[in-house]
Amino acid sequence: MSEKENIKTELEDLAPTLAKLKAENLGTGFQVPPNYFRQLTTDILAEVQPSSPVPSVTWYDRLIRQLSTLLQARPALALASVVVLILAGMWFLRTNSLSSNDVPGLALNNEELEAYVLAHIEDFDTDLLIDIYTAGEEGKTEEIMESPLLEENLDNLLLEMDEEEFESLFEGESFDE
Amino acid sequence: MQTAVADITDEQILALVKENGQQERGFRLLLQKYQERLYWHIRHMVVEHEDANDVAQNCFIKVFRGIQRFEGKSSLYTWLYRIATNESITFLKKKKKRGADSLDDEALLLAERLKADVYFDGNDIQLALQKAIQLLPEKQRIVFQMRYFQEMSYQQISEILGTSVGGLKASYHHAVKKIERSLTETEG
Repeated sequence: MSEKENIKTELEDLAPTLAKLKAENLGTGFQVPPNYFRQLTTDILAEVQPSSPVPSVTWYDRLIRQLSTLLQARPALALASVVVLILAGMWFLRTNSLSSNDVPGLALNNEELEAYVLAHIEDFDTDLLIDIYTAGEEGKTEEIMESPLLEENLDNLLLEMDEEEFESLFEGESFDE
Repeated sequence: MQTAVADITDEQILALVKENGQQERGFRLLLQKYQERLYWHIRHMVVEHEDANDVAQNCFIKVFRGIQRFEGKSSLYTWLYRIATNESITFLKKKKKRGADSLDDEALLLAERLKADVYFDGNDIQLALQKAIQLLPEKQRIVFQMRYFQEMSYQQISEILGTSVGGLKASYHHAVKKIERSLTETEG
């Protein structure tokens, strides 16, 4: 006797209503979605299949990878061009930032400047020089004129003059009070 | 010529699963041969489709992870049903903790849920049967489902549950009597 028959006989003895229900083969009334079992296989296999392991990357590996990328022909050429441009720019800026005063060969001292001015004193327009000098500097003229330095210069100038030169300064002037 | 899945023996499946590079193929064959049977076993225990789907997936994931250590002390069939049964019981216990307080409440709630379930199209008597099953104690419920729906022999159930055949017969008889009484009351 098959197990199915055993179960049927057992039920008929114990529970006629339940036996009748089973004989009608109604089942449980449970259903599943369409194509459920095919999908279940797919879902389970997707869960159990190992994903490809992600290798651990150390800082050394990253460095080597970046270097190898940079050392490829085109990136290396681009990098070299950038370096050359930066160096050229730095050299150019450094050269321009040096004024003529910073160049030892071009420096002029005060004596040379004074000699130049004295040698070309007639080239300057006196009125223009005065205008330029006094513009916005009013009040300073007297101060400059009275400065000990100018008085000293005047004294020196007078001492250097010989008698004839000194007298020529006062030609036409009368000292009579 | 391709061999039908039903013709593939458990020994062939196990040999494939343990062979290098053939594990997936072996497991796929195992699924094709057993997933539907195990799903219905689980569904009869947990009743609702969504729950059965979750339990079935967990069950087969455990099977996949454990099959390399399967030593063949029991048949593959018994081992698979044991895992499915344990998974279902664990699930029901967890569900019970956060659900109804008593069996009566549980049965009422289940009946309500089944009425609204798109994957249940049973008539009143089928609904009454499910309600009566839910009123059984856990062990009687499991034994009844395995014998009444799955048509397993007491020996097979004994191997799966690790219970004596005598104890199983007693449980089944009690379960059948209670359900019969419940159905008779419903009809009356």
